[in-house]
Amino acid sequence: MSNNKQAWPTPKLYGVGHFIEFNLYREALMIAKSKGYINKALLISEIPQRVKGLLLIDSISETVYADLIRELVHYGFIKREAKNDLYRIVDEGLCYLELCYNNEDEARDMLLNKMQNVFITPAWFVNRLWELNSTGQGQIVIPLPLKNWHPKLRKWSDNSWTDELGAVSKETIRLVKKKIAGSFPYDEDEWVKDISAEYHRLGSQSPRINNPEIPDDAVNYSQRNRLSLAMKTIAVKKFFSRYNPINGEMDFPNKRSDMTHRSFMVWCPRLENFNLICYTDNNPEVPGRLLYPISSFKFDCSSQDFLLKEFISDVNNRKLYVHNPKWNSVKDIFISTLLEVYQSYYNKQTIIYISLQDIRDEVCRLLRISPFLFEKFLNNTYEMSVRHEINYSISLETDIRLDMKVQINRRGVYLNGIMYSLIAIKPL
Amino acid sequence: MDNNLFRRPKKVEEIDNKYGFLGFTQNPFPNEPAVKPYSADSRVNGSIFLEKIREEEIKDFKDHIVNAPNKIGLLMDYAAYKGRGIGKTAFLNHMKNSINIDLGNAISNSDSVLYAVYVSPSADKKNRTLSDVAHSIFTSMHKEGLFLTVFCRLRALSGLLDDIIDDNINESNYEDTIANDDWLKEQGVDVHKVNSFVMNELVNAGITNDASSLFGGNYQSFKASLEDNKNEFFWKKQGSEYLFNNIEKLLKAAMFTNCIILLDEAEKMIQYQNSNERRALCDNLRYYFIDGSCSNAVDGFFKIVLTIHPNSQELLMPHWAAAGLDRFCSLGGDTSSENSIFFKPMSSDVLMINELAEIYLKESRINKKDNSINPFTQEAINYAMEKSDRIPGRFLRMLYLMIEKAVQNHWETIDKDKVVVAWQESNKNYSLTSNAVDDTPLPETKIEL
Repeated sequence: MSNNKQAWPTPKLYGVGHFIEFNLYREALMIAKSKGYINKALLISEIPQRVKGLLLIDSISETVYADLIRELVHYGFIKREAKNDLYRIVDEGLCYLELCYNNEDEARDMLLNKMQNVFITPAWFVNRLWELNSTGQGQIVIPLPLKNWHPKLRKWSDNSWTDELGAVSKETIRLVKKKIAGSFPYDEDEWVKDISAEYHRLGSQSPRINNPEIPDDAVNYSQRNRLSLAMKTIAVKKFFSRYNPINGEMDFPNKRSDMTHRSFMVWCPRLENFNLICYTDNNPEVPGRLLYPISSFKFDCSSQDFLLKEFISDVNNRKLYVHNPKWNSVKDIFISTLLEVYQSYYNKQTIIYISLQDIRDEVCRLLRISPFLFEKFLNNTYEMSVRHEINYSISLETDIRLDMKVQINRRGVYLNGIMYSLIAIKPL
Repeated sequence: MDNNLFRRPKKVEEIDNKYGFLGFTQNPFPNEPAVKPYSADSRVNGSIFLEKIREEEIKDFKDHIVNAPNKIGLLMDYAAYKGRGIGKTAFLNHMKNSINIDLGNAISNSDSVLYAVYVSPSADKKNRTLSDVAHSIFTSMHKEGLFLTVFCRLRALSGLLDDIIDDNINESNYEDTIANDDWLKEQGVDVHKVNSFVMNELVNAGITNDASSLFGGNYQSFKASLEDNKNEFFWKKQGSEYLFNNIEKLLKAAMFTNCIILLDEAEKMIQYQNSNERRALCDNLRYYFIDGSCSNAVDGFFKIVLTIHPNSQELLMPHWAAAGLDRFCSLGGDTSSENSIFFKPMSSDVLMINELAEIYLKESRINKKDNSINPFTQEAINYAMEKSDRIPGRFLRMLYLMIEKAVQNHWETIDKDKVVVAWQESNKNYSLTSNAVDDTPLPETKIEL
């Protein structure tokens, strides 16, 4: 890579809108089609009632509508009328809208193509993951403090960096590095130094409180929360800025603002929706967000298990291939992996019903498949067990264990439209 | 004899004693480290108790509860959240037994006649008010045979039996002697006179109205008048009144000075109560124990010891203060030591730890003269104690497991190394809860992209 003199093209748009639900594009275009135009005010009044049922949108701020319109304009789906603040849908937009209803896969591809052209991020992000951990197939961890660390609250004014904080920061990344080799290419001392600086910076701001009458020194803060935020910010800055920490070059020699933690949080689910990467915040053994690509750049690939995305290429003109294996070719390995993962989680938790989401995340990581494929393959396996074609009985349940309450916002596992949250597997 | 109608379980003695080679008749330690007060097994019913461990607590119990005017006392857990099995229930049961065996003669230096009742509420909804507790107390009294003692004391106190009561008559034969009308007649006692004396006391206590009933004074009718067949509604409506007024009068008539209620696991009640119920409990405690119009408040006859967890202390605090109880028994703060017994984890004194193990070992030894800690070595005992966080319940459970392992593997001695291995094994399954972080790498990705 180091002999690569070519740089990524300059993005047309820098800031990504803080929303992850692709349906928002479709709904906005629908409104534009039926009403003849859209603008921010119209979207504010129309969109909320249309997306009410979607779990992932709890509240949409006004900025999001502005961002949505901006993105649609850049994708070439809508055009602004010269004189006023009205946007009208154009042919490209109509085309996308039609695909949304007739061919979801093509609609997704079209959107990915547009997003790639405007932001450059999708391809660059996948490539960056591969560069960061080339031996571990792009697995990266954005760490959070060790799960069993629960420090006391501190006064806002007490912003000192303690030995305990340093030890936790070190222990955390030591664990992460041990858990997945190469998943955290960051020097330990440098990491602690950067974290402590960020921790100080966060503490030197005035506290965000609603009541201005409360003096700053009466405010307490959670050390865990502050250290978490510092870790996320620092790790994202290191791994996903335009400066390439592996080869020391600038991926975007011109201007391009660095990816903030907030944008990172938007890009992860967007790219997961395109089946380019997967991530989980709930790996029971790794503290933090574990993410990895399920696609890679190749000059050529004859395997049937990959889906070519011709319109996406890296700076070396390699094409993007998404891992999309057929059931017949992965059947055996899928079933054996499912059993292995279940068994290893069972051994640790000694509870028969294990979180299906946890199992899904781990199987997806081991087999590098998307959550969609997992659902499809699990369904196939389930049917096989019903027909006694495998010697295991699989039981799927929908329930929330007490310790899983927090996971309600996590992507569910759906089989035939029903969400399941627990799985038990027993030999027949 | 293989017919299912005849088959019986083998008696325990008939099964080969697999602990024999270690010199035991059974595993000396309880397999479930919990106290079951009514069990016949001495390992679990709390009768094996090493007073030495709890010397301080026993002293506090004497000074703050038995021989003090306090009516409400607290037993607080110093180990706070550290885990169960520190021995509160065993302690309460031990105190109950040591009071009841001589009706408090020793513990009060012969000053008073005492009786202790142990109650442990369940987490059911029906155990949320003081009248529910009153019902449990009454049931416990029945179970413990208090009313037989009361009856016999009443008869004895009539002054008509002075000549015939001697050392041969004790709790075990009350029913055949003092409580038996025919036996009394044989001894030449005027049963009718005795009975009317007893009857009078019952009427005074308000237990029955009919003083003229012919057989009113014999044990059967005495029992019947106290029969625990009153319905839930009765207990809801008048339970507290009945116990703290009528029964109190009856016990007083039998010349008891105090009755000590040992309420274990009060947090089970408190945690499930809503705020109104908590308030009502505190108000009722004050009414019935301190300054209400019932005779218990006047005489200060019943004393109650609540076992409180630090958590329920917080829950109870505002209501406790609102009911004004903190002036009589403070739930926290400087004066709380006046009415509280603080329960501490075991000390690290080697002799004490050994004695705890010995007292259990001895109970099951074939050779009763053996006072050693065999088959354990000293290091093994110390290590087990350390790993059980100095909580006796966990310690005993661990020794139980070690004995089982010794039997399986035919170990003659159990040394530290064996305990270390066993401890690691038993904790492997709990790695999620322990502090040690499992840092084994995740499996490698199986697919090359």
